[in-house]
Amino acid sequence: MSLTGTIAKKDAPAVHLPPPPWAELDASCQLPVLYFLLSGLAWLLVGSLLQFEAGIRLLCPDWWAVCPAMTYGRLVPAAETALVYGFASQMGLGIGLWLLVRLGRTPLVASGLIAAGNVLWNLALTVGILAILLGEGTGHGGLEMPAYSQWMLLAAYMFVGIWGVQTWAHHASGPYYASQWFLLGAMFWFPWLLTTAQLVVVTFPGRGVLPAITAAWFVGGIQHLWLTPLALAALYYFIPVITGRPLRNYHLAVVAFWSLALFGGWSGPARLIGGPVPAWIVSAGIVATVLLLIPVTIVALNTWPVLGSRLGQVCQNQVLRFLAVGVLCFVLVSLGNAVNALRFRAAVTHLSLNEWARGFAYLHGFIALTFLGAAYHVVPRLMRRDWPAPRLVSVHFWFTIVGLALVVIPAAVDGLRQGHELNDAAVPTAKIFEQLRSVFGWRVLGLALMGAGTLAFLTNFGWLLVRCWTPGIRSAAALFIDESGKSVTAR
Amino acid sequence: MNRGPLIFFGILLTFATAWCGLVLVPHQQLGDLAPIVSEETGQSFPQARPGDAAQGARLYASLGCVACHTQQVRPEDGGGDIARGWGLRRSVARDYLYDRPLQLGSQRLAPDLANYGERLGTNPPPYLHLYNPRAITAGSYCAANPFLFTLRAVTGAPALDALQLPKGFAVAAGWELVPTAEADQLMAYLRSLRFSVALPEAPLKVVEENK
Repeated sequence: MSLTGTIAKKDAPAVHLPPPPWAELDASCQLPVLYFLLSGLAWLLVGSLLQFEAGIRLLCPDWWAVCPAMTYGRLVPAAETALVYGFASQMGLGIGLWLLVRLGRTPLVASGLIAAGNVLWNLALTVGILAILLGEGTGHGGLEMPAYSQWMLLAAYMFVGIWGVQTWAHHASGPYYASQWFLLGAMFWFPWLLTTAQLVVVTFPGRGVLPAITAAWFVGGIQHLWLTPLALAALYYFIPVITGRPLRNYHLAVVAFWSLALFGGWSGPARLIGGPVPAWIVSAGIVATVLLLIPVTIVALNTWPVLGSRLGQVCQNQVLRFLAVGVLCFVLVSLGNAVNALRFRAAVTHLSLNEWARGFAYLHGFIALTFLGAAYHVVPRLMRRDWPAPRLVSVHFWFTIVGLALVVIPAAVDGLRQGHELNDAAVPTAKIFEQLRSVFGWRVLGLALMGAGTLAFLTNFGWLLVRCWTPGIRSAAALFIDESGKSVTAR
Repeated sequence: MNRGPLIFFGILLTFATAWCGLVLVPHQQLGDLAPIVSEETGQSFPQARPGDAAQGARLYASLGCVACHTQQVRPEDGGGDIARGWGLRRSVARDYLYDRPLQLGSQRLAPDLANYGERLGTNPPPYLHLYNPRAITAGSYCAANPFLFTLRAVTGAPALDALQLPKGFAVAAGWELVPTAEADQLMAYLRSLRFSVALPEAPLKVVEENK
């Protein structure tokens, strides 16, 4: 069932067009989308390894201590950079470009240049992450890469952004679908965020706490105006297409979009609560973080009835499983963020592992699972061949979910204890921190499982590529594909 | 929504509100914040760091100490930082005028260092902790920094600044560990971390209690 056929049923605007040539459209974006997905996955592996190594550092701090590049304080920002800019941003762009082509029913403009942008992007990240490990990091959370690689990254983005927006503008007639609003927003907000933060925080830093305020705005923006809209664009497309049911309450999606656009931009400073900045800035951040529950509620109202009515399919389908857990993480973490933004809660949880756990669950739960699930749908269509090892998809799913739980739940629970005890002057400081070791143990175990899951995906991906590029097998592959775009991975 | 330009305009407008509110306005408000000069002593606060401490600040950022150590004291109604002895008052924007790069931190897996210099007082600098935190606190998971020290053969009398290593960490007889210039810079920076000066916007806690 095609997307239009699906969404035109009830809530979404109807479009009457002849079925577009999906095969041609997919071919137009095959190279850059594959590049982005593959390099995103590779960075996920690198980022997971760096995170794992950082966890090991906490458990065995004297092992390899002679090497400053392997010190905890450098591994953490290097891992974060690899995961946010390498994995999440590139996977999001890959999925986003494919969605632009599918929804706009128009071939990707300048796909060669976009692929070149991908190469430059990876170069910028490689240089930047090596620089962090060698001690050249800026020291600003979220903007750790030195200025030269940030500018390279921005230049690389321009290749993608300019031609991506061109593709958006070539949209075949008819109304824009929700995913397209989110994609256009993300594609404009990202360069604006990065340029401003780069100028004001790194290149020409303001005095005193000004860089911290801008960096907080930037981190909130990267979370809510870059990664979140990219992930929501994917959810709003794949859930109706795979279930074959229209999103419920679709007319509310427009409110979700504009409220996310407004409050997402203001939400960042909530993370400065208690910090040395004017109170109004923090208050604005808190209000925006709480009001972000509006788009979150609407996303739940749009997607949950659909997923709930197809619960059996959700449990079985390789793609839907990932997306459903992703939506769940989105709602739970956003709720946790809103509650813990309130001043009386922040007094306990701010700066604690509980806060860290929410950040981890947002990135590895909501963002990552959404993109990974989407990739399971997109790649077989691009390659015109189904996944060679469906079992590995299940391995990936369960390893990731169990690993995620092992990392997040102990940290969230023990973080509350940490926060309470730090506020109780009678508890010795050293004791509070030493007790966190068990959390780090679970974290290392969880990260190992998640890494193994990623390896399962990469194996499947590699196997698929080998099969497709082996002469002789290729011609038979085309038989597999349902031209209307129906999910071949659904079973 | 079916008009591309309208969507685009809205996207720009919503973003511009946050950009003006959280980037432009704070720069307007805090951009000309200046040190304060005490009427009693004539000293200004905060003071720019001397060269070695400024070098140390860069090293502190480069090693990523901020991954575990925050440098911010939250107000009394927003956490137990003051009760724990991490500062005599909350930290405010003026305290950080010369902090570059700013290292407020977002995770507390270790003690806050905003007033570490104050706590250190006249005690000898904790080179041993810098070399290996386990030499002082057995259960610590803080990173060891052996690369900030030089292992060399003792020639003549042992160096004055050679580390006095406890059992289990000692180096071979006839050898000694001495801090590098970088270790000294880092210590100078840690010593400079203090803001126990009353400000109009942030009186010290002890002063409040005496009233």
